[in-house]
Amino acid sequence: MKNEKSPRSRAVRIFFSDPWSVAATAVLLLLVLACFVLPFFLKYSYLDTDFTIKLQGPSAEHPLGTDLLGRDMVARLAYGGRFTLGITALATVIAAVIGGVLGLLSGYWGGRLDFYVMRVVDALSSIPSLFLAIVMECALGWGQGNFVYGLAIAAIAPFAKIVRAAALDVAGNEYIEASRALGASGLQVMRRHVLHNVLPVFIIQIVNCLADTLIICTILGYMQVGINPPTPEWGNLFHLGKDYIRSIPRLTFLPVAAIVLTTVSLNIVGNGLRDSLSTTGGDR
Amino acid sequence: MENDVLLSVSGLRISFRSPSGTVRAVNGVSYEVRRGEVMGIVGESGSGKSVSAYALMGLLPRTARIESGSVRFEGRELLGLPEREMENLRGSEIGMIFQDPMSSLDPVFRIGDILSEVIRSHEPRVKKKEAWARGVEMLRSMGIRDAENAARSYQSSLSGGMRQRVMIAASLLLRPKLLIADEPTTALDVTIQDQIIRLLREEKEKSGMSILFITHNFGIVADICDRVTVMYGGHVMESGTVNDIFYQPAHPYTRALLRAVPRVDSSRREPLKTIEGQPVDATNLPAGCVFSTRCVHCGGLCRREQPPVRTVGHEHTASCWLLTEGGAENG
Amino acid sequence: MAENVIQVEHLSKTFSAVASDGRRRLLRAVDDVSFAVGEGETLGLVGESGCGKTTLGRSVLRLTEPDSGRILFRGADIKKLRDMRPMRRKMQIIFQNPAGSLDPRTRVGDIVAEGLELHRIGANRAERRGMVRDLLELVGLTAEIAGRYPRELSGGQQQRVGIARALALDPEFVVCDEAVSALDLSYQGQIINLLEQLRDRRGLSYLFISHDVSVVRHISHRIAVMYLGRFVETGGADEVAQHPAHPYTRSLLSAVPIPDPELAKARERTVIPVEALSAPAPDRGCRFSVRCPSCTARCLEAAPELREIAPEHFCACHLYD
Repeated sequence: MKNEKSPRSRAVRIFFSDPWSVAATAVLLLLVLACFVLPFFLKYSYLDTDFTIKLQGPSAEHPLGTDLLGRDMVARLAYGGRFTLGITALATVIAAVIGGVLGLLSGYWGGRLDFYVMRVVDALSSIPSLFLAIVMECALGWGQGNFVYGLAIAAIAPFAKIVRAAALDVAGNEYIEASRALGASGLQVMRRHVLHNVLPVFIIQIVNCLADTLIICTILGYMQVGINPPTPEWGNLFHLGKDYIRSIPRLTFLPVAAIVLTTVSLNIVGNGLRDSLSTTGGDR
Repeated sequence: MENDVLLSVSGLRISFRSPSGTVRAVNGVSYEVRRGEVMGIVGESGSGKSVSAYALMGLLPRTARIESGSVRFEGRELLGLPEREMENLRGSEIGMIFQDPMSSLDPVFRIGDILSEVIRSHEPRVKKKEAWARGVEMLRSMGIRDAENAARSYQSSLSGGMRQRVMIAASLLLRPKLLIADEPTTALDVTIQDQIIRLLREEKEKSGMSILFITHNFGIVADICDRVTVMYGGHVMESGTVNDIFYQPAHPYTRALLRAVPRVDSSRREPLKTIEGQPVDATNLPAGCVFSTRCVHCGGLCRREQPPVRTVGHEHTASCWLLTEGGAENG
Repeated sequence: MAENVIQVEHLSKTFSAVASDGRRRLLRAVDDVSFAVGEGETLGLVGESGCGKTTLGRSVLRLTEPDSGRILFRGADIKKLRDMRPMRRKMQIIFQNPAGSLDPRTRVGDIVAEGLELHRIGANRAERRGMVRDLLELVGLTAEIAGRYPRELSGGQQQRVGIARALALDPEFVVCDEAVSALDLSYQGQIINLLEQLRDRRGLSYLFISHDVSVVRHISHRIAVMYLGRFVETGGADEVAQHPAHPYTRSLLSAVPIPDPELAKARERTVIPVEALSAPAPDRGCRFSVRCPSCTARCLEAAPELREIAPEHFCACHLYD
């Protein structure tokens, strides 16, 4: 107890004391490195086709073999991950900013603003996010930029709801009233107390949102309504591989493994964060 | 005399795992509850007073570990009893009421249903109607005037005092031999508290059951208890009859606590006597007496070694170096 | 007690609340309450849960906006102020829940400094840090604690931090809302003594709200007893405690447990019945009438007003008409 430091360092300590969280974090780091750094050192691009070597098994030249156009699978997976992870992260950031602000305003200030914001959020969340993403794709028109916006809009509603609930929870505390009693204005209370107490929930939601958006992104890729070939993406790699699932399972297995590994790791990290970030958690 | 003892706890040690280390909540606690008596366990928060009771009900959280000790109920060892047998014992032999009656009553059932369920879970052959009638009868004996109405209502429409009466009714339905009451009136207003205390006393007189009464309030102790165990830092500081504790307190901690109570029947204007300092850190207990860090009489021996239990009168024991021969060199 | 620091006249606050039967009702949490607190004086406010004492405390500080009535701080009506913030320096509050009233993610030093920063007291951080150190020492803590977080402190230490925060602005009037109720016995005494010490040294005035009659009697000069939104009895602390006039006050006092086994056995009780289902306050007549042992026909008709039954001792009961 005596040497206890800030809630932040305490959270870090609790988080890294859980071997599952550590392992999942390591896996995510490796995946990110593989997708964003590895391509710079590869001999082949994801577009280098060579029909003479199509559908080859693993070899020294192509450690994971080649696909039906003779493209290097390592390059396909790494670049595919770059698109999948990049798009997921971008969409999450946009959703986090919009959903976070809406949830914060609505939860802390309440009143009429809360009413209208929450009706819009309700409307958004009444449509399953996968369909919402597809609808947005159609409405905005095809294209990678619009694809990101579509995913982001689909992720706003849960963000807004969760941040709003957290802000409401914080606003009900006596330290908020104490701050008002000291003469703080609404904005000052927000800056001094609400923001950093909502932050943990916000961080956890970012991780959860990454996992959810990644799945939607790859499903859309698989359904050929997301990122389309020849641009690789884990979802559409899965799609291209599925015709060979009996003869060459590697083509399906590799992208699916990447998707599963990433989402499972994200969920483990999310749980680890939830356990470590609560101020009272883990005590007695 | 041996037959008189209903419950005996001896040498109980319980610890909890926590991120800041092992919390030593109960450190070698012994006490006994005799038939027909009210045994009070008094202490501040963190004294381990509730933990020991939860242990004997088999209701400790998963982070808890019973390190040693024994809890005997009518001569039968309770620690390590299979969960099924413990369930049978809870309710029928040992009843329990808690501080917060709200969270102990299921809000989606009618009060009468909750009470009949208690009866029927232990006596499956009783008919529903009969169980309901017994429930209503019990409510009536709890001093609830329109008991039929109360039985048909839900937890949410009852006041706090009413809920606690219902809880007591539920815990007494099967005529347990021991009732464990963990701060049962702390969440209630004083006027209601007074009524609940009197109700418990009457029920005890009627049925001859024993009560293990856990509280931090010395006023309530004086009101209802026959014997008292004072706890601090997971240790028993002093134990004796209610008159021993109030009129001849032997332990410095008991004496200091009693002096710290503000009293409604005194108009003294001078500052209250207090116990200075902070309570012990249960993750880092001192080597000697747990109270040594705050005790005004503390000497070198107190910091080095734990004091033995010393008999200071008939049925009156205390654990303090001042009371032993060795205590003289201590001063 | 020369000048009144706070004078409250006919304060009322009504909430719309969902009653236990599921119907929406108007709840008169504070109903036409008037009182004054002099310089260096402590007015104790006792009552049971739901009597409106907390709402009254918050209303006086306009943390809850009252519906009607006047709140005079040294003669000036603060209810008319458009911006309460400058006024907050003069009037502070200490909360019941020591842990809940401190931001868990803010260091103790920053918690105490918050008021200083908001009102731009002290020229710079370093000067404020010095002031925080003095404040912490004033409430019996060491300066070293400034770098810690609330969860590392005990309940008693946390409550001292809450007091230091309230005193940072050098207020004249402090509402203590159940300020010692959540504390263990050994801290309760420490904090009561500290509050008394600070009052006497700095000439503070307190509105000391508590459900604990023993504590209120100890710390207060005068006591007001509140029942369902109204004052039923006010008077000097000893006078009210020794000669309670209102039937409610009497039952309240007789229910307070006394830490003395012999006295406890000898004591007589004034028992007031409780209704089986929690009933709303009657719309007409005396609000205590449903539970009152001396209720008459008149009590059901007209609500009694506070009247002086002895010097400086007021009671709202038809028994004293």
